[in-house]
Order: sequence, then C-alpha cells, then structure tokens
Amino acid sequence: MRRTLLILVALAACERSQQAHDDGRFPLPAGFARVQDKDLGSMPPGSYAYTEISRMQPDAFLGSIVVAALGDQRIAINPEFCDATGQGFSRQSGVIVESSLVVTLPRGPACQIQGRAPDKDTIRVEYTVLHPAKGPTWGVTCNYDSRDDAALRACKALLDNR
Amino acid sequence: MADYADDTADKINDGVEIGDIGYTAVEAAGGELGTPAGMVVAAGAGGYALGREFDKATGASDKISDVMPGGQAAKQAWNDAGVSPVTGQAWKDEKTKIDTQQAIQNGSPMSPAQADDERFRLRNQVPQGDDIAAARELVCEPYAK
Repeated sequence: MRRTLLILVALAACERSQQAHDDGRFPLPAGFARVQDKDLGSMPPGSYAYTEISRMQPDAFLGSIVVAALGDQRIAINPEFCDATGQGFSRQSGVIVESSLVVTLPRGPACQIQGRAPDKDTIRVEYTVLHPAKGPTWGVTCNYDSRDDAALRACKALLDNR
Repeated sequence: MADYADDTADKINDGVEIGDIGYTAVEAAGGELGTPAGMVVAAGAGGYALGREFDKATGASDKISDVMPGGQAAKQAWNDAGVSPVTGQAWKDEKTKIDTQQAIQNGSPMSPAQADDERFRLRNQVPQGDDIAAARELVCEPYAK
C-alpha cells in the first residue's frame, strides 16, 4: 500500500515536471540542458536557454533554444507584424529568412520566422514571438542542424507546451 | 501610426531617451524605422547569436562559460539594435562611441573584447546628460595614463 502511494506521488511529480512552470517558463526539452544564467550575456531579465547535450554527429551544429522574456506589453500578432519582424531579424542577424507566418500555438497566437544561417545552409533558425492570452510575451529562438530531427522535435515540443 | 513611427525614429536619431522603445517601436511599422526595431527583433537576433556561441562549446553546460565570456555576440546584437536589454531604453550616444573608438586607435590598454564590453556597459547603463560626461571620463581615463 505504502509502495503504491509512493509510486503515485512519483508519477504525479513526473507529470508536473512536463508542464509549464508557474511563471510560464517552458520546461526543459528531452536531450537538452539548461544554460547557466551567467552565460546568457545580455538577454533581458527572466530569459533562459537550453542547449543540446550532445551533437547528433561530430560535424553537426549543436542545437539550442533561447527563450527571451519580452515583458507584459501587448503586441498585435498579424501578418504585417510578422513580415516586418522577419525583415528586422534578417537585417539584424544576417539570417536568410525563408518565411514569416502567423500561427496558432497552444499558448496563443504567434509569429514564426524561419530561415537559415548566412554562412551555412545546414544551420536552421526558427524565431517565434509567442503572445499568450495572459502572462508575458516570449521570443523563442531555436537553432539547430537541418539533419537533427531530435532538436527540431524538441523545439516544437517546447512551443506546443501549454 | 506612421506619425508615431516618424516621431519615434526622430527621437532615436536624436539619441533621446524614449522609454519603452522595444515595445512601442514594434507596433510602429513604417516611417524612418521601416521595420519594427527593438526588443522583439533584438531578442531573436540575440538568441541566434547566442546559439552560435553555444555551438562553440562541447555541449556540456559547465563548459559553455569557458568559451562564451559574457555572450559577446549577443551583446553585439543588442547593441546593433540600439536597445538596452536592461532598461528597455534606446541609446544612441555616438560621441561616446567615437571617443572610445578613437581611444582604442590611439593605443588602448584594453583588448578589443574589453573595449567592446566597455562600450556595451556605457550604452546600456549610463544615464543621459551630465552622467555621460562622467562616464566618458571613466572610459577615457585609462587610455590617458
């Protein structure tokens, strides 16, 4: 009886760890590790990042997911905003933007910019501005190797989190 | 909206503090800005830059700090966007930047990375007005010695 109870408690804890934190933070995806805050450089307070624990193969780009806290201010997610954000992002980072779309994610409407690194076709980048119905707005940047299906799945799983 | 964007752009160009530029500019498409500048764009660019830096590491999180002191590339992305990640205020103190660059050309004791850190610190932490002069002194003093 006691053992059953312990197992139930453990299972409940596992389930909780898959859900978003109370502060809206996205949970750690499988195969990724949390980056120490001091290594985030100058990202806004409340931001955090995950990196892949190991490369899929020696010459592959190491995947990363950077979650930037963009504050509570309301942002209108629409095609114009997405296009303009994509253009700005491209200008700012050099990334070759391939698409910018309004999408609906479980947490709410989002603007998704997809592109590739200017110097290497196999490095993919996906930048999502996520505007939940309540809580802060997040800017999620997924960087991954085009051959790395696990990293892409991790990115999508994170964005699909409620 | 366009008037607001023009107004915002003018203020940025004049280097005037306008407060929450990151968010207001996002909504202000058009005008001299031409594109939403500020927090949203800088966050994505910063995240991409950071990702490239993470890639230099071995993959173990305790090794990242060995190759990524301060996240230089991310800092550059924020700097280029002209947005302070600390306060959300836009800074465009070109004179301070030029002073620093000149000091570097004149034989700065700082390494390029240190000088970059200093520029970043100035841009993001220094209040306007008289304090800029004080900060400039702080930056230029080491070169004078």
